[in-house]
Amino acid sequence: MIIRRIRFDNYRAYYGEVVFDFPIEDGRNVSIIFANNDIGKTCFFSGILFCLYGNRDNDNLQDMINVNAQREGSYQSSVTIFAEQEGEEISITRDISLRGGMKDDVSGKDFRSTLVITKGDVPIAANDESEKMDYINSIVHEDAAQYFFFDGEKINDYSVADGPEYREAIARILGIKEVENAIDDLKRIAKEYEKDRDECLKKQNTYNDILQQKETLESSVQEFERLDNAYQTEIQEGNALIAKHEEELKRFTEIGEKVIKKQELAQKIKEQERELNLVEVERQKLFQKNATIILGEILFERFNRDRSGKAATPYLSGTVQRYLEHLLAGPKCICGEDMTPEHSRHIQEYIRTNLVTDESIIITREREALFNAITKYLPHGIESKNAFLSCCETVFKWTSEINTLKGELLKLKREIGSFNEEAGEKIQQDIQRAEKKIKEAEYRKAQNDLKLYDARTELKNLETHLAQYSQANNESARCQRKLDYAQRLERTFEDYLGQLLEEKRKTVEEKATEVFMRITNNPKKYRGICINSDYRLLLELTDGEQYEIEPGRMLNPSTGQSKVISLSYIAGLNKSSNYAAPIIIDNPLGLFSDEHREAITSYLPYFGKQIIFMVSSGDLTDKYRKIIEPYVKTEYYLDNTGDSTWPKSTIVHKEVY
Amino acid sequence: MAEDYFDIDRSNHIRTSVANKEFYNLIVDEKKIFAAKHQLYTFAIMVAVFYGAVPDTSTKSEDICLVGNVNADNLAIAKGIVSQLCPDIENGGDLLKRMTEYADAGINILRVEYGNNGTLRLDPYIE
Repeated sequence: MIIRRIRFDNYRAYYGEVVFDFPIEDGRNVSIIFANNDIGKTCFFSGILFCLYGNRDNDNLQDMINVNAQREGSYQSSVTIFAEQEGEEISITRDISLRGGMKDDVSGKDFRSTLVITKGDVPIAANDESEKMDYINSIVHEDAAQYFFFDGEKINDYSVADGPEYREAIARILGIKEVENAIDDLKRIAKEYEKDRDECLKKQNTYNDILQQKETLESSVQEFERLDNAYQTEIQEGNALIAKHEEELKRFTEIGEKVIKKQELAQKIKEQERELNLVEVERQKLFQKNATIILGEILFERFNRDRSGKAATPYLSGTVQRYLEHLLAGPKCICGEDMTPEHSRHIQEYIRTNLVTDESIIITREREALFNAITKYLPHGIESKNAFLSCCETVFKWTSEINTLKGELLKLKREIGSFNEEAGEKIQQDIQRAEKKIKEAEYRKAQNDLKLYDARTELKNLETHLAQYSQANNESARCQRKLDYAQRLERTFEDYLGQLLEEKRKTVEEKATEVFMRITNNPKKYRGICINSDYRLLLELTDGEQYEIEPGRMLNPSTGQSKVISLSYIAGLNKSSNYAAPIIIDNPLGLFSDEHREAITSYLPYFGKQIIFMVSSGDLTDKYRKIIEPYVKTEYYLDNTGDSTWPKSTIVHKEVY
Repeated sequence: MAEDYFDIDRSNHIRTSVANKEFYNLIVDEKKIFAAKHQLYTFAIMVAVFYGAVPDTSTKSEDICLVGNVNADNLAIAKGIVSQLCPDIENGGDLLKRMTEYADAGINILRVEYGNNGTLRLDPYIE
């Protein structure tokens, strides 16, 4: 999209009709709107967002109408963008007007906003709001708008955004969202097939208990997931609050260094605890699965030791008994001597003592077999025992290390906490409160995670059973087949999405690095910007070291450098994007140092096909104007022509090159 | 034919006392130290035998699980150990009864251990 003209009519600071034309030609693609504070720079910016995406929930529509116009009895306002989109002329108008007739006393809720889009003078979907929004989103999706239309003073937030936020942004701006939508659709389809199959099974009246159990489990999983998200948000908010407080603490230079060390230590402890947790989970799994086998192996060895050396109890079978009785009738004993009454008594005594029935022999043999069967578990028992001991050893080692680190952390906390300044103490208390809340939330989350894991596992098992049971009936088997196909397709799409995201991530990384190296004031220190596999933003130094930019981290680059990173990241995303839209920046040079301003001004014309930015004369001084002059096509100068409290902003001068 | 005498019907219920059932619930459902009650059951048998405990013959009215649901490897080991320890037992029914008595004796030991340490550990049994 190329914006040809924007028309404001009584929109906020703009009084009456104020029209901006934005012609571009080869080599001159920049338009600048000069205005001092409170004259209409931000209104220009917000007007474009309002026109495209409507008012935000908390916006009062009446407040968007120029106050002077309202006092003159005009309760109408509008913003219209005239543009060229894929070779066609389009116009997008969003207006604000009174619902019904004029009243004596109007309030924000009496106003409504309507959207009209024309394409080649033909209105698009006059009565279908969602279709109109779909059309606008196809030009620049609302979620991606922040990478085309942004406030230069607020871009620092981009460099410390959370990993998942980057992922979302990358997905949306690079068109990956469509693949995600396809996966969502497949999930929904699979769910419908699953429902059909369950309906079939219900009709069979055999599996109602399992189906009921499944229903209950599904609600439990939903509830656990909801809780999980809530706890996660609580933890994130707590961490952000601590980061904010610690930033404030940095102002107290006396403890600044200690705060840095404390943050580093806390980070290290967190990482080690994460590792320790993994080993403990591993140890717990080993314990759960193998406790009986390990102990069984130990007892088996003990029993075997006790039995060794002892002769097996002799027993007499029927055959031997008959042979001995045969001997008794004969003249000679088995020892070779003559059969005397004494010999005969011994033999009879032996038969009486040792004769057992065949059943006893079988039982004895079975008992031995049962015991000896344990031998087949011995190698696994020994292996599990060693693995368990190795886990115990690691847990012990890491626990000691963590305890040492915690001791150091406690000492630092005490030192920081004892800082005798009222404000500092209050911040400390706030940090402690936030830490406590995070810990509680983490505990609740861990408990909930276990329940969620169990419920999911149980649900999965039930699902496996239901899949098997469905084969007993043609109709349910057919539903199951459909379900299997849908799930297989869903997995294929998920694999594809993974690959696509990875490719796009690399592209953004390359392009952002290219821009960053061009505008940073310290190219010798940095090698580039990286986005790791969790979509966290990393800075790569020339020595190859990478570090993560986290909210409030002491090692973060300076505010100016962070803004440069943000700008590079936006440019990187922008250049890798499937959308083609102008770049509109409110105050691109705000808060930058002199050297950065120079580099950014030089880069601005290359940001996109069409650049419009708002700036005060104080920020874009002659020095920078000279740099950008060859690329500027139009310049507008705004001023307040009214003399009342509320502005009557309008164009007082226009320059076309 | 081997193992006819000591076969245990898979549909038999394994039971415990009311007090011990609460301990099963605590360790498995609440504390997640074991993933399933049968894991604790066979482990408790081993613990009782390890300490030479006297089988606990108290009334067992509370269901833990079905014999058929006990992990086959763990069950084989428990059967092998208890049948070897008790030569007076000559059939599967009596063997299950004795195993369950050992399990309850083991639970009594584990309850004390849990009271002292707040968890169940395996390392004290490993020499």
